[in-house]
Amino acid sequence: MSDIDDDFKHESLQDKESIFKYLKAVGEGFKNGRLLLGSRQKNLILEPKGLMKFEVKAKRKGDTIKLALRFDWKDDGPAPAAQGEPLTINTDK
Amino acid sequence: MIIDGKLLLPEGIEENFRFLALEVTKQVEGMLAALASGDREAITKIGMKDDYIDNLKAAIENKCFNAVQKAAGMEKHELTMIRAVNTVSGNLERIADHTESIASQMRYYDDTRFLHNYDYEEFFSIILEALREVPAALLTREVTTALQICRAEHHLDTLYKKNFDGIMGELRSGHAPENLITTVFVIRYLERMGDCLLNIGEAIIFTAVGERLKIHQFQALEDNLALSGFDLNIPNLAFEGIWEGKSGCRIGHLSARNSGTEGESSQEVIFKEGNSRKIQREKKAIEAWDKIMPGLPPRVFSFQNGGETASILLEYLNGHNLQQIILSGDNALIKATLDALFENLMKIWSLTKKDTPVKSAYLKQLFSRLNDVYAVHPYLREEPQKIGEIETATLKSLLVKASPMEAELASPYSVLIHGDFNIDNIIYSPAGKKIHFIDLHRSMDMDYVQDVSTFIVSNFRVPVFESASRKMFNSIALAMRRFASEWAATTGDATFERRLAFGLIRSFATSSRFVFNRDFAKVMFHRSVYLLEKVTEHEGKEWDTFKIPDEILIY
Repeated sequence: MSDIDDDFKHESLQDKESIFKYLKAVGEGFKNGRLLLGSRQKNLILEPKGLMKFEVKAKRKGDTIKLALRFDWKDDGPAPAAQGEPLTINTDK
Repeated sequence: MIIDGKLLLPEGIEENFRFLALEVTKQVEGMLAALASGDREAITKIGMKDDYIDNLKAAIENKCFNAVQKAAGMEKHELTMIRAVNTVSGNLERIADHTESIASQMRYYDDTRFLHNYDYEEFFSIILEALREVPAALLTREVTTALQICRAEHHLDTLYKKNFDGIMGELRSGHAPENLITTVFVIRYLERMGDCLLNIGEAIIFTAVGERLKIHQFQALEDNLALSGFDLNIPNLAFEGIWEGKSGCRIGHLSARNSGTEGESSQEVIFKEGNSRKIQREKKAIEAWDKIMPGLPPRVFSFQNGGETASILLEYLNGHNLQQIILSGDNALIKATLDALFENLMKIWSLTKKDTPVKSAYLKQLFSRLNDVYAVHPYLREEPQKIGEIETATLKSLLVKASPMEAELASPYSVLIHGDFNIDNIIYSPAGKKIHFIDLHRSMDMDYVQDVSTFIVSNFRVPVFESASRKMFNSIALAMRRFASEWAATTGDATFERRLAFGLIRSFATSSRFVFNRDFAKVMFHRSVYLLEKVTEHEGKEWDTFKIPDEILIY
């Protein structure tokens, strides 16, 4: 079973103008601390904050160039759904 | 191994097979005699011989599978023969089973001689005549006899119908229903022996022709050959592959001997059999093309219409198709082919240009094939997504937006188009420096952009990624684009670029269903979506500034 809580994937063909639009949209998300990635079934709302690891990878192989931007951060986000009853210690005798 | 035209079967299969055929024939003969005598004991005895036949059949089956298992290096016709021997044996054994079933029906008769009121002797005589021919026909791969064996089925069916109708009539008048019903069962078993004989005959044709042809397909082939004056000596016919075309036709490439006035010669021909409408359309199109460009389409040697299906015998065009030529890497040949192709297109388009505007419905065609695309590549079925403020485009939503835009567009004139202008439908023969077009059944007066876009994408979609060939496919796609753009400019076709975009949108998306590599299919499909986005974004702007980027056309 996958241990991924939430995921989102998009693949398409773009050109540099439209890529700029996407980068701007993602940039706005960082600026506002809220980036929505959504499909019909569900929305994945990312709230970038605090410190994050930033990685830029670029590769040229023949005439194919790959540029990857990656951001990793921890989310204190919503508490995971209650799993069983919370532990209580009854001191009353 | 072949000695005197006869194939030697391994592991003593032939001996077993001859015994099996003999034994089954003897059993059927015995049953006929027993039924004629009306002797119940004799009939029962005949019905009990079956074990020996079963064992022979099992032995042959084992040996055939053994031989196939050890078949490394075995030639195709030997393998074909072994398959046929196995099929024929299975059907012989079934004939024996039916004989046994007839015996078991006898207990339901008051008097077994009741059967004498019907044509049982004629049934047996047809069956036996065919049965006696089986060993020789199979072992010498004799097609004429195989056809006679096949035809037994038809005779038996007719006889069954006649007797069955008679029995029904008698049942209605209320006479001896038990005896009548039993007789129906008996003649039904005899009729089923006919089905076995048909399977046997078809298996023998398989050994001679090397391909599985149904009897009606074989007859169509035979009739076509006869009509066009080819020698009917079928063993001289060599099938070099018969396949189900994408259009659902059976297509075979074969060589046949032609004994005309100028002595004997061998002629390679293409045989197509399938849906009558498609074949007829192809014939008409070939005739139309030949009038305009004599020799460009293949010659039609003969045509046979058999109602739902039809068949056609066409000239086999020497040379290679453009795809093979590109893959050959022979640059001089590629250049000669392209020069000839463009020269021919220029001629065809000029000669057939009619100044009546025509509309294509590329997006409608795409829409109708979209489910076929998703069936092969379900992951291409997209849903709208949001990335920040941007809503991503899906093919379906874009199609809705773009359809009215396409509806406004028309080509200012029509030309005679190929209709399925893939690079493998273009043949070049270097000897005569001639271009030929094949598979013309979708040809019509239409927007030439349809052929242009199909051609471009048929280069793109070839799953060859080796750099030299790929570069060649790319430059040919671009060459076609340039050629067509220049033609558009000189003929004052102002909407060419947009129509080309719609044509490419269709071809990229629909062709992805012929591509099984997932990533490659995505590459093609995404091009379709990209172009749709560009076209829809451009609405309201000056169309003069709309241009399809070259990179879209190449991989």
